[in-house]
Amino acid sequence: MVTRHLRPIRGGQYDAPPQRHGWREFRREHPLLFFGLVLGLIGFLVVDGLLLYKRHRYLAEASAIRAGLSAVERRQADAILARNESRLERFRLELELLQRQARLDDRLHLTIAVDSGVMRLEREGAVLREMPIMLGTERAVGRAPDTVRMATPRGTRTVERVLAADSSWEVPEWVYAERGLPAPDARILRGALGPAALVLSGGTVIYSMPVAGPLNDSSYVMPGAVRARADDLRAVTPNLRPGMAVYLY
Amino acid sequence: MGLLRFYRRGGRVALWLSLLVLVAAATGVLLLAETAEARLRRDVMRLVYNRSVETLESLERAVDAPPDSVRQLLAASPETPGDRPYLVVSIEDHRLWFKQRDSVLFTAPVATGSGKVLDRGRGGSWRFETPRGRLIVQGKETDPQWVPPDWHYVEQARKRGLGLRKLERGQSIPLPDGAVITVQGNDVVRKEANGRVRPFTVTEGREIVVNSNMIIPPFGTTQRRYPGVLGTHRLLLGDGYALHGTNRPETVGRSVSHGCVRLRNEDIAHLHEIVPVGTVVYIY
Repeated sequence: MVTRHLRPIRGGQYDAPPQRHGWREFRREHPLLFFGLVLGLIGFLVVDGLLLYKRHRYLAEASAIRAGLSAVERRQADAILARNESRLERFRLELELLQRQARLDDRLHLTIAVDSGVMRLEREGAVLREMPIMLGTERAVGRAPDTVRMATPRGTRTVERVLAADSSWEVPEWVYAERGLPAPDARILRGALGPAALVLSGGTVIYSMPVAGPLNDSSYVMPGAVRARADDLRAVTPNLRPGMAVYLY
Repeated sequence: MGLLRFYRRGGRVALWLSLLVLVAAATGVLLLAETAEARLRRDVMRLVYNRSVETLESLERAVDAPPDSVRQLLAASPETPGDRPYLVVSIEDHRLWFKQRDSVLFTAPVATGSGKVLDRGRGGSWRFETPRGRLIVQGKETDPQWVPPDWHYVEQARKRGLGLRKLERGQSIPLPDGAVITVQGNDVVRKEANGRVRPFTVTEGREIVVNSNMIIPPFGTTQRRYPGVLGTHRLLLGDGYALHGTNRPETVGRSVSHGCVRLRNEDIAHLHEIVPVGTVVYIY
């Protein structure tokens, strides 16, 4: 029956119901809303994808680091993670506090944002130079039982040595092993850490690619170390002295 | 109204589209929390691995406050000089930036100190380096005049194989023809035997030379002021250092100055306009 699809109006006549459109009609009739929603959907999907990737990366990194922990350390890590939510929140806040401390430091210092891969020369919150960096992977190196734990540090360190192109540094034996090279007896090499480098308290090294030696490979970054561009390190090292702070967060 | 019409006329298509957006947004919120937790998990592992737990615990002790107080502390971070516009000069890059926080408001090439050393005798020396550290714009000048320090005369005299003679006010240097060089008013003058007085005209590289000696005029005299050498503008940084223009723009971008930061005239003119007195200058 025709009347089934019609609704009565005054005067005993019938009117057509509101017409339901398909995609094309919508796009034509409500272009702003339609494209707004489509763009919103695409935007959210991109963000979701990015977050999924990041989450996967963090979990993979956490697993990799956990694999390198001793049984006691695993228990320690689990204990921290098992603490209540406010305790974990507090850890997050403390990392933020570290950034704040760096921002308020009125002496010249370096900050290293580990996740963003950026090193900055700063003073009083002013950014004097921003430098891209690469971080070595975190793993235990060497042969058991003489393994060395190499990890990107977090927290505050100080500059211990400022090295120039002619400064000597003892290349660890495990670097040769990692590079598949025979380790020579004399491993103290001039310019091993590039034209300019820094050795921090705790042994962390910020270096640039040298022109020769086992670290002369653009695809290799020493585990637990930071590699910056030679030009950047050349520009900042004349300003750095032993004892200056380096904030890693 | 448009939205209502959209849903009334849109039927399933409109509802599906909206639903999908909502689901994607909700998933995003959920994933954000999950990702933050995964990151925290990674950070805790890293801290334990790196034996850095004590660093954070020391921070915690230093603050010694519940999380809410820490949050308040973080929210109430005081303003730092980095929050206001500041100047940065990189000696290595021969470049200047006028910045506010991470944003660059203006950038220009500069010439910086040559690093050369000039022996001043008696074991001392002048080192022509741009000072590294934190300085402040103490004043601004238009059409500045350069008052050469003593090293300028030492440098010029050595270049030309001449001796040096410092002229003080009230002093006269006799010349072989009976005339004398002396200071009259604000001028270094040649006073003839017949009493005629002629002030010297001096420019950079054309200093007063008498009997194979270069004369160092006293401060405050016209002969110790060189117009044009410092370009059109100067921002004073104290201790004799400044950001200034130049009459030799080809030198900008090199290590050639005696310590000042030299810019092209158009760049220093712009800086003069936009940089207030009191601005912090970081030189590294």
